Amino acid sequence: MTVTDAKPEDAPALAAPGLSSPLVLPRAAPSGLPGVLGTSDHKTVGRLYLGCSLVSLVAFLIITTVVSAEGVDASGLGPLAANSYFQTETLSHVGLFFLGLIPAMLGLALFVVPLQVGSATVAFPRAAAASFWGWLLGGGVLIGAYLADGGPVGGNDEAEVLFLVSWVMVIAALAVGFVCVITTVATARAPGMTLLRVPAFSWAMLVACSLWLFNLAALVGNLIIVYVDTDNAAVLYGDGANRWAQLSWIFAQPAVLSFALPVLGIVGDAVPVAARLRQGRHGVVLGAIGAFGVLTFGAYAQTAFNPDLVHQALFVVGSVVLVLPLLVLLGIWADTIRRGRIRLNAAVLLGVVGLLTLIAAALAAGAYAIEPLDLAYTRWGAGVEKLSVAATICGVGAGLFYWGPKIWGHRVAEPLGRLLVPLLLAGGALFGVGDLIAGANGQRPTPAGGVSEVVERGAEIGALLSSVGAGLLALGVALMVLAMLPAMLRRSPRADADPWGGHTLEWTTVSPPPFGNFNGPVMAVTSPAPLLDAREAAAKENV
Amino acid sequence: MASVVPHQSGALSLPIPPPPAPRPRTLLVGAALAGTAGAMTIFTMVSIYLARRSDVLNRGETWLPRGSQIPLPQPNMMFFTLLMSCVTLAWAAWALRREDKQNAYIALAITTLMAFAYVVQASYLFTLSEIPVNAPGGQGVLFWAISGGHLAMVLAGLVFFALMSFRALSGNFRRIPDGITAVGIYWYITVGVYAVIWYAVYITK
Repeated sequence: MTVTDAKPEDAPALAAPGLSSPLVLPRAAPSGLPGVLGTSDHKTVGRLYLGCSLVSLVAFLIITTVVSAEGVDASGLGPLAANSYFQTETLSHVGLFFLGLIPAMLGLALFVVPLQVGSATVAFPRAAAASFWGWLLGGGVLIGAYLADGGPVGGNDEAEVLFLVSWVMVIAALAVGFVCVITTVATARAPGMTLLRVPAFSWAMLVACSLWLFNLAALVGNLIIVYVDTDNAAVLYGDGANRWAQLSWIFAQPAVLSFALPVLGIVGDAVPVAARLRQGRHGVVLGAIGAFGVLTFGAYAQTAFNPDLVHQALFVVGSVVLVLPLLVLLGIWADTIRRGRIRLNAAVLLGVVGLLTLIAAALAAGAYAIEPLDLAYTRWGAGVEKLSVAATICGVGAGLFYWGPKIWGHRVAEPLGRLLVPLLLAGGALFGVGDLIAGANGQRPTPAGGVSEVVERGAEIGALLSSVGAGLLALGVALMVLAMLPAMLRRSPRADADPWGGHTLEWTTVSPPPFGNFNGPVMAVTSPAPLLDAREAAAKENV
Repeated sequence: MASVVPHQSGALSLPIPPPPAPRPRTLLVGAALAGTAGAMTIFTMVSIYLARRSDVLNRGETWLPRGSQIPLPQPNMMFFTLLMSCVTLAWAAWALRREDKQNAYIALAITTLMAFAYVVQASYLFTLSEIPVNAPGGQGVLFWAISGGHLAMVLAGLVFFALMSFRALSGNFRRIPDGITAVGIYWYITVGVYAVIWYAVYITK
């Protein structure tokens, strides 16, 4: 019988009594630079992903601020030249998602998921390390390709091809990470942890990584065709703007909303802990997260091949009902907060802001699909994307403040986290609402040249709001890094093993967890909140 | 469960945790995910191919560029070769589970031969088809992207198969069946993808 094959009923026989073994076994853990460069420890790989992606996120949000600001004066371009506007605009999309948000969530998952499911390591640990280094290399080449006038509409043919190859490389590297996370949840769970007992974040990452794997695999199909086309006289798609149209579906609804899916898992773990209450209807929570995931499968929604898709039943119904699972989750968590004794820490506040922003994005996505509103193919679509970005950023922040003490082993600056809440709320709202206003007035997306032929009323104000929002988000992520810095540099007090009174297995081990994660056998899991079970059992014994 | 072992001096006893348990399903799940992602990539390209071809045919034009052809015998033989390799791969996994080295080695050798035969036949088909990659209607781009993409998927499968076969040849029999079964999952998906390409690209043209 193996750990992964253990049936729930065998769990008590396999698990040791108590929370952990009294014996701390010395284990060989690489340290210093070799420990970073040569490690396959999922915790180090997760930290590397988080560190690099946060820096990248700040940089690409600043680029997004500049790109959005170009629309403030619709009569002409500002700092960006006509031939560099579209390049920078596409870079802001690719960079934000593929070099910022997705790797940040993947880093968080690579660190937290094995701990949550009670595994000593991630599945395929060397592949996880290869995923990070492949992503870093691919990301560097991608930026280099843009700098060499590549990108989808660049003037340098070889750099254009390099851009496509490097994007595939980034996706392939991330996909390896997704496989590691999915396989960990699927096969490396602690004894007794059935899929219905998996913590919300691990479940959300299982759903999200599966979705991302399939959505991005489809994108690789598009990229291969665009690559072969670009390398052979562009007979199929012609100019760069048309090539970009084949690829940009990943930044449109419903696929773009899938990148914010982990927010649901973070809120699902943080809220019951903060409310000091067992999460009721855990199965419904997992079901709603899964339903939202299914609805954000977007590989079919490639409007470049089928412009009428936005009026077809599958797309319309899928977009309109997208908000329903989110409302179910909002209701369940609101009830948990109402019944519990809530501690409003930064993680919960940021998570709730992320959830509300995601609900706004889902509502906007629903409106986009309603034909009488005539929002299809206007800037409203960019508003949906931007609200999704804001929701994901809030989720990253919530995850960092919730698991930060576990990740770094030292306390993070909680007051700074509270300061982030209004900043990210305002930034996210302005970032998305600017484009929603422009879209509601009928403004079409800015063409490749950077100057719209027809400028509707409100478009310039919308661009200004969006630009200010992007700037606030950039500031917010920079403050997020600043809040983590004392913990990263080990200048703040050491963190307790369980600073929040957590419910799940990651809080049974010391902060930061040792090499091998747990100092002894993992406790038996008989519910979605094993640590709470143990606490309640201990309290009963004391009585 | 922790166990007690005597120290070298015999005076001290220390509880130690059990050795890490093997996880036979890990490789299977990983291979299934990799295969499914590969299938998703190819299916996306096939969908674009079919959409484009449909547009061209609806305009009353012919799909394949003038002078190009897709002969049927080669794709058919390639399909049968892949189907036979599925049988021999299942035979290898069956033999490995019974620690039947002789049958296992024969089955692995035949599977390798089949896989290489597929690659050779594919290369021959590509030389026969004479579809220019820069054909004006974009047919060449789509045809080569799909057939090249699938060939890459097959080659990745071959590398995976070779790694697992080397483990088999090393005599590490206890861990082999999972490895070969994982290869099998990936390989069956690859063959399934070819079945779609065979019908959508080669048969219906």
